[in-house]
Amino acid sequence: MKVIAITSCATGIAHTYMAAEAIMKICKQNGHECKVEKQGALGIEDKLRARDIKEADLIVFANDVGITKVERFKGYEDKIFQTKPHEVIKDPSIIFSK
Amino acid sequence: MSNVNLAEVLLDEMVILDCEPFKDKDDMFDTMTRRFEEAGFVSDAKAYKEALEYRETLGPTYMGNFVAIPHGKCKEVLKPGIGFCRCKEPFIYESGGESGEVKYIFVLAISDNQENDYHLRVLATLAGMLAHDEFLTLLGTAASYEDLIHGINNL
Repeated sequence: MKVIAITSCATGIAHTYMAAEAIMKICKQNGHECKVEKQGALGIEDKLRARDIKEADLIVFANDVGITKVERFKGYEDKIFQTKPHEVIKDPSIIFSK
Repeated sequence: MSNVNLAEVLLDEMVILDCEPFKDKDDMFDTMTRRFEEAGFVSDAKAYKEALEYRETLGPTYMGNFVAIPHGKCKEVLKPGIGFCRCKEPFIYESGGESGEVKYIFVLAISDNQENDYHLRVLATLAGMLAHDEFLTLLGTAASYEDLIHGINNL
C-alpha cells in the first residue's frame, strides 16, 4: 500500500527526523511505498503533493506541534492515523494498528 | 547514507567513550554542558543546561534501545554541535514521565538563529541515523573516536 506521513516536533530537529526514518524503515520492511514530509527547523522538506495525498492508503500524522497546511488533508480524515513522534520511534509498527 | 560530514559537528573533544555511568540525568547534564562550554560551543553552560531542562518538560528524550537524545536550543549556543557519551554500564534516565536504562547519549546544542542550515542538517541526519540498527551497533562497538567517525562515514 501507499503510506504517507508528516512528522514534526517541538525543537524541529531530533524527533522529526528520527520519526521520519523510523516510518520509512518500517514501510520498507513491510514492502509499502512511503513518503514522509518533515516539518522541522529546516522548514518543510519532501512536501507531499496533492497526488500523494489522494493516492495514499494510510496517512500518518506524527506531530507534537501543529501541522502546517493541514487543510490539504480535508476529506481524507478517515485515512489518518494520529500519533506522536516519540511513540513512532519507540514502536514504528503502531502506524499499522489503524 | 548522507552527504553531510558528521565529523564537523561531532568533535573529538565532545566524544566520551566508556565513562563510568552517571548518577542520573542531572549529573550527565552537568558533565556534558561543561564540556560544551569548554569546547566553545556554548557561552554559558548553566544557561544551556536550563535549555536542556526546558526541553525535558516538553516530552521524553529517552528513545529506547539504551539511547537518549536530550537537546537544548538557546541564544547561548555559539555554534551547533553534538556531544556523545557511551557509558560502561547503563544508568536510569528519567525523562518526560518515562524512565529507562541508558548507555548512549547524544546531547545536541542547537543555536537560536537558524542561519546555519548546514549544521541543522547534520543534526537532523544524526537523528535519522538513530533509527537504524547498524548505527546503534556501531555506537556499542566503536573502539575510538576515529573508529566511530570512520564507521559513520561508511554506513
